[in-house]
Amino acid sequence: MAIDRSNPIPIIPSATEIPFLLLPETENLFFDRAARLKSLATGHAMADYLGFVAEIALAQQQALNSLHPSLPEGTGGPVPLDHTRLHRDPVWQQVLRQIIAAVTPKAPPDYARWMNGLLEKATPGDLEQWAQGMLEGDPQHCDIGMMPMVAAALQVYWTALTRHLEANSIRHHPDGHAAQQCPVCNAPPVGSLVRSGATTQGLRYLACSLCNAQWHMERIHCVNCGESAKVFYYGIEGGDDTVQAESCDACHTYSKVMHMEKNPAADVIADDLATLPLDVLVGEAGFERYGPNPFLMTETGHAARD
Amino acid sequence: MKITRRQFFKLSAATLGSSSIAVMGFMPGEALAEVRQFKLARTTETRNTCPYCSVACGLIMYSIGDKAKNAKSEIIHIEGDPDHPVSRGSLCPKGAGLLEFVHSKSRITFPEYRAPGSNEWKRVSWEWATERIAKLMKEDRDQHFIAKNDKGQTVNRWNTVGFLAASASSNEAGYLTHKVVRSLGIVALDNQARV
Repeated sequence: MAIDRSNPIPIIPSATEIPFLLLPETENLFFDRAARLKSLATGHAMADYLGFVAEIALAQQQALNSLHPSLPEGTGGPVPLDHTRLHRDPVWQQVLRQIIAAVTPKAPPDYARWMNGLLEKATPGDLEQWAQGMLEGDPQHCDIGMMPMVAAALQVYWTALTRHLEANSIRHHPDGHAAQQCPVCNAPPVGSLVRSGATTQGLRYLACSLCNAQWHMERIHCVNCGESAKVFYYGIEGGDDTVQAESCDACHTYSKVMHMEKNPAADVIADDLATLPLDVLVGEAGFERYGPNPFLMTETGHAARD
Repeated sequence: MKITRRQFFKLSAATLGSSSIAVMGFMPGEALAEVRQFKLARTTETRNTCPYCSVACGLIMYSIGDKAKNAKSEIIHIEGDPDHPVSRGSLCPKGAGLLEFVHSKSRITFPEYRAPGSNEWKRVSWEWATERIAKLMKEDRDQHFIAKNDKGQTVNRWNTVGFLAASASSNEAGYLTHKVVRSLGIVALDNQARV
C-alpha cells in the first residue's frame, strides 16, 4: 500500500509522555473563573472585589464566545503568539469597550464614571498605548486603575487566538526560551496549578497571565531561577492548603501554587486574589513575588535586580 | 526575552493600599486587618527513590518543620512523583506504605551482632561491624579462592561467598559494586532486582 505523504499521521503523545502544553478551554474558561470567584467571595474579607472580578470574567466569556480573530502578522514564529512581536488586531479595542459597558452597572460609581470618562476621550492610538503599558506593566502608559480592564480585553483576544493552535504542535520550549515565560505568547505566568485527574494527575503547570495556556514545569523547582534543593512551601498555619507559596532560598522569590487535588475548581487568578494575606506574610518574610495577576497591579513592580 | 517590570513585586499593606484594587474603589482594609491573625507554616517537598525494588519509582516526601529555626523536622506524607519518567507518580502497595516504614518503631537504625550460639543481640558500632565483615571475608577467601582450574587456566574464582546488592542504587553505585565484588573474584553477584 502506498503511503500518503501529503497527509501525515498526526503525532499523539503516548500516555506515559507528559503533555507539555494545555490550551485554554475557550467554551467555559472565564465562566468557570467567574463561578470560582463567586464561591470564594462568600464570607470573604474582599467579597466585593472578588464579586466584581467575577463580573469581569463573565463579560470576558461573553466577548470570547463571539470573537473569532484571524491570525495577524507576526505570528507563527517559535513562540507562535509572541506578544512582543504580534501585530494586535484593533478588534481587541471593541472587546475592551464591550467589557467596560458590561461591568459598568456593577462597578463602584466613582470608578465607573472615571473609567468611562477616560474611555470616551481616548483615541485608538491611546488605547494601543494602554495595551503596551499593560503588557509591559508600565503605569506611565496605562493607569493602574485601567490596567485590569485592558488586561481583561487582551486576555480575551489572545485566548481567542489560541483556537488556531494545536497543543500537540508545541512539545517543548523553543531553544533559548525561558522556562518561566509562556511558550505560546511569551507573557509571564500568574502562578501554577498542580492538576488532578487523567493524564496530568499531580503535574504542575504554569498558567499564563495573558493567553490562559498552561505549560508543564517539573515540581519542586523555583519558577524564577530553576533551583530545586532550596525550594520550600509557605502556607497559612491551620488554613486552607489549596494555595501555597513556592519559595526559594536561593533567589528569594516565590510563586503561588494552587492544588486542584485539594480543590478541583481552583483557578490561578481567582485563588490568587482570595489569598492575598499569604502574599503579605511571605513578603514580610523577605521574598519577592514572581508572576503578575492582571487584577492586582501595583505601582512598585520592577524588573529583575541583576 | 524581555523581563518587564511587572514580573517581580512585593506585596505589603502599603502596596496593597495603593494597588489597582484600591484605585478601583475597593478597600482591602478588612483583608489587611485579617493578616495579623495569620502565621506562616513552612513545609518541604523532597524527591527520593523508593528503596524496595529495581523499578526505582520516584517519590516525593513531604515534611514539616523549619530547619533554619532548629525545629524538629518530620516526614508527614510520601507519594509517587508524577514527574518521574519511569513511574509517572504510581507506587505499588509497598511503596505507598513507605511512611509506615519510615516511622516504624521496629525499624533498625544501627548495626547489631548476635554471636554464634548466643540468643542475644548486642548493639555494635559501624566500625566494628565493617571490620568483622572484612575479617571474615578475608579468612574465607584465603581458604577457598581458586586461582587456576584443573587444566591450569587462570580463573580467579571465589565461589563460597555471594553478594546481594541494593535495588535503588544509582548507575554509579552499581558500577562500583561490580568493580569491588568482581575484583575479589565473587561470581554470585545479584541485585535485589525484584520483590
